[in-house]
Amino acid sequence: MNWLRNLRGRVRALFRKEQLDGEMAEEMRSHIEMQMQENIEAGMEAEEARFDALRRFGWTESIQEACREQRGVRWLETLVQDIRFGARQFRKNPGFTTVALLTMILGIGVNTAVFSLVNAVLLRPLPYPDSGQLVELREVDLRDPARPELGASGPNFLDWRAHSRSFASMGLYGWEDFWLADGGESRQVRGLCVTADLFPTFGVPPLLGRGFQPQDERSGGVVLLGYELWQRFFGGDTNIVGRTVVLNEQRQTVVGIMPPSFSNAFDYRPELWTPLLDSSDLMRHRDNHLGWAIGRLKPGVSLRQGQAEMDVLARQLAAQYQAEDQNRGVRVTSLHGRMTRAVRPALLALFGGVGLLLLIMCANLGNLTLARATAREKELAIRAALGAGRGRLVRQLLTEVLVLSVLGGATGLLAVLWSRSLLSSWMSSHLPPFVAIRIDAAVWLFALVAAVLTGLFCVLVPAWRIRGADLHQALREGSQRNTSNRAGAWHRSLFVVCEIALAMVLLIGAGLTLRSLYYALHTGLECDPANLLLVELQLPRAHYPMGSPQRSDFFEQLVAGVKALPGVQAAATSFSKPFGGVPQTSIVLDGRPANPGEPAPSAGMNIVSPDFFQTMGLHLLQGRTFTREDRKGAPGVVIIDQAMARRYWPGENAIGKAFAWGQGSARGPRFTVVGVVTDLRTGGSEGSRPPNMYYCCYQMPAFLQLLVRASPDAMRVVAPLQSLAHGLDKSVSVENVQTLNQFLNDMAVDVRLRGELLASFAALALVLAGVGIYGVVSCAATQRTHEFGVRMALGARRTDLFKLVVVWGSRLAVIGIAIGLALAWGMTRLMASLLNGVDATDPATFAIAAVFLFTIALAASWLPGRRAAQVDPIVALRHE
Amino acid sequence: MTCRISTYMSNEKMDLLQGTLDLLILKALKLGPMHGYGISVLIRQTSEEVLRVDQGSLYPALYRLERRGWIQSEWGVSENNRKAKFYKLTAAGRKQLLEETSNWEKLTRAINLILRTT
Repeated sequence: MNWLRNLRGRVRALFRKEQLDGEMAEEMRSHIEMQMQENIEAGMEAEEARFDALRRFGWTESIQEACREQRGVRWLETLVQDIRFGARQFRKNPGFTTVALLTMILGIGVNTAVFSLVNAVLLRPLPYPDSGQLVELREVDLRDPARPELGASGPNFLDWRAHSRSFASMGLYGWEDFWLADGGESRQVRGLCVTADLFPTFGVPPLLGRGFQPQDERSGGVVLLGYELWQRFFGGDTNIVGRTVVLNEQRQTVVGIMPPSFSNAFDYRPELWTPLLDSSDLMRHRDNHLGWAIGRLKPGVSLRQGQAEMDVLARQLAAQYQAEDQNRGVRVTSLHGRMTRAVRPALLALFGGVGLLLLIMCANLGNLTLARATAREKELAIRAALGAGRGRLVRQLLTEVLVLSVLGGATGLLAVLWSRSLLSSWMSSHLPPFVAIRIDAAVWLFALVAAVLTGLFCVLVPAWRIRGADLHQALREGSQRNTSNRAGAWHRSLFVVCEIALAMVLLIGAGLTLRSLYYALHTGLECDPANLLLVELQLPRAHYPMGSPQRSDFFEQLVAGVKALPGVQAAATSFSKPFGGVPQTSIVLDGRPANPGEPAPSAGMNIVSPDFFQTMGLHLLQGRTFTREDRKGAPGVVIIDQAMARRYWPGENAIGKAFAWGQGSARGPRFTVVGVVTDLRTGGSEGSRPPNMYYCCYQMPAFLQLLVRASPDAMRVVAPLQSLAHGLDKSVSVENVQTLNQFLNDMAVDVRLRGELLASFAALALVLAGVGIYGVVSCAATQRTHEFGVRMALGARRTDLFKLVVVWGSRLAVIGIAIGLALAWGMTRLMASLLNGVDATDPATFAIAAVFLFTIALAASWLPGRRAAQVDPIVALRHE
Repeated sequence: MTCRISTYMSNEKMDLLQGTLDLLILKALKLGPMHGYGISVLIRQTSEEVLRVDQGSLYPALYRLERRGWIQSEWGVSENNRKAKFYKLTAAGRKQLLEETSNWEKLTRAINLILRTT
């Protein structure tokens, strides 16, 4: 109860100050009167008695002040006083206030926005019960751990599940495309085949109906629908459970609906789930690695313990199944880490970028605060003379800045709250699907901490100067020429050097990202990517199985028809989209056994028709292109690009060289190089270009894409192409038609976003650095006006003065740029994984950024330099 | 917070140990409710004019003790028919007085022991 009364007392003290003060004065008056009374009784005259009483009592004001301290709310009153005073100061300096406030809002707002992304993606757990225990299990090639990891094969998965003790449960899934037909409508949907224990592993039960049971893995015939598919295709019909639908021309019973957003657990959102049948390829073949395994560690079991157990298991399996599992390991990664791995570096780079920006803003604000504190030195000195302690003065400065920064932080946070939906929709395609951007306690805390730290940082140097400086000196001397001012100029230069260095790092980071964007968007092709059409065709699998003559015939007829269309210059077929992440295939070069320790040679693989090279605008440099004679059964042939020739047969003639698919002792089909073509990409250094190899579609019938070169407007070919395809077969659908230009842009959308964001941060940083230099140089030039007058009187020319100022400004810039280059040298390595076609320490980017920043610095000291040169010597000499 | 109490003999101000003034005030109020002037007179008289409490210490101390809940105040009328603020001990104050008295006795005994042996 004590604290309650205490609190009540403090609240009373705060809000009924007048009354309390009145009572206190009354009490002391009565004390003095009593003393007076006693004095009179002792025989004094009235006037003497009164004087004696007053003298004995002491200085009432100071006693009252001491009593007020006892109320326990003194600090709060001081705070309110300081805030009031600060507000008054701000009203008197609207310029400073606006600049400072805008800087704070921008700095803290942008940082909070990016932090809310970091928080949503990297800090918040996955939306499943006890999601920290969820892991993904993948097989890895122990000889080459850097190679992209494989999935998991069914038989290996069964062994893991049966023999491991660290896992509470484990589930496996594989991707599958389905044709879904219901009541005359049909469409292709993306689905998953899953083991019965996958949903319990996630800890997510179906919204309606039941999940899968182990017997479903034997009999099949059941399907679980995703919420979105249920809503869109079946209109959210709650009677759907128990009904049959037609999947891949087979009747299947709907046994349940999965909750909304459950599909977010997987990279490409699946729309339905069927049981993974025991009889499926995935479950029967130990060397089919197209499955994906999810495990839930038992409570209290760490990732490392799980990994250690799987290492032992993998060794046992490798010994038992030498053919399939030799050199295979298992990698256990947290599911959260796995799902956020792709965006982590980009997010951290962005966060680093805005962090740097905030630091630059802090330096600028610190500069402003310092300038203002210097201008206010007289005021502060007067306050000190009137008895204010140094601590009290620092507290006042701090309060003023903190008011600004907290106000700025709050506004920044509001701006983020307000633009949250914009932020989500803008970023959602770049973030893992499970991510929901929320402004939660962590974001609030971040904004608050950022605001307070910014405020503290800004006031650090001015406060330190107040503590150390002899304020009385400031009272005695003129405001212009005193030692503390010169020290102030030094501190401000320090700020500017930091600012330039940080801006340099940001500028280089943005420059490197823009270089990768340029690389992603520009090809080495001679043809205009806007004239090249990429067409994806969907053929009903039942009628046109992969590799079947029907499929080859259909494509050949279609290509022949397309070539005859008006405006079409060339057309070809291809297996994968050029530039679009072609599958990498390991090869074994003839006469060069693979070194066990070395990564196996590999190259991107595509299967194309002979016209592919002409359509893409690739030149045949050596040898021949494909002919009809390169058919099934004929000796295997391959056309490679220069990059591949350079990498595997440097300084040799690649024609006639041979290699086989495969790795280690495993050998696949063998191929002989018959031609060398130009590289797809010509950006970046020659050594960094990815090698590519092309196979003949007559030899390996695999058709998926159509490539059409047409002018002047490639998109005009789309409609006649569609009717051509439908003329050949009604059930064929033409999907996903894009020009190469659009495709490259889509592929580069991540890089573009990063590039645009970093470039805008860098632009802001440049402006801030420019303003910083301008401020410091012009302030210093003004302070030296008197000196300039003397110099002119002694015969200095105007150009000398101009040079003096500009050289001084450039010296700051050069120091800052040098520090920035060194910093960037260390820091850009961290973003190496985000860069394509350019080194993290690309000298050209570094040099261009340095020159650019130096030019800005020069321009910023130009104006003060000109002002110095135009000064009238008489005025300058009188300048005080 | 140092308490300033003047001693009569030297007429020089000296700082007393923290808490001493609190003890004196609590002890004075044990006799009954009293106003600030009364307390200062009482301390001066019972100490045979040796201790004189500085008002600059007395009133802040009174406010502090009140905030801690050891004494309570209410307005009343003095013996001379004057409006005055009277302080009285609370139950917590009584307890505090006992505690501080025993602490004080321990301290003085310790100091006496030291003075006698050396």
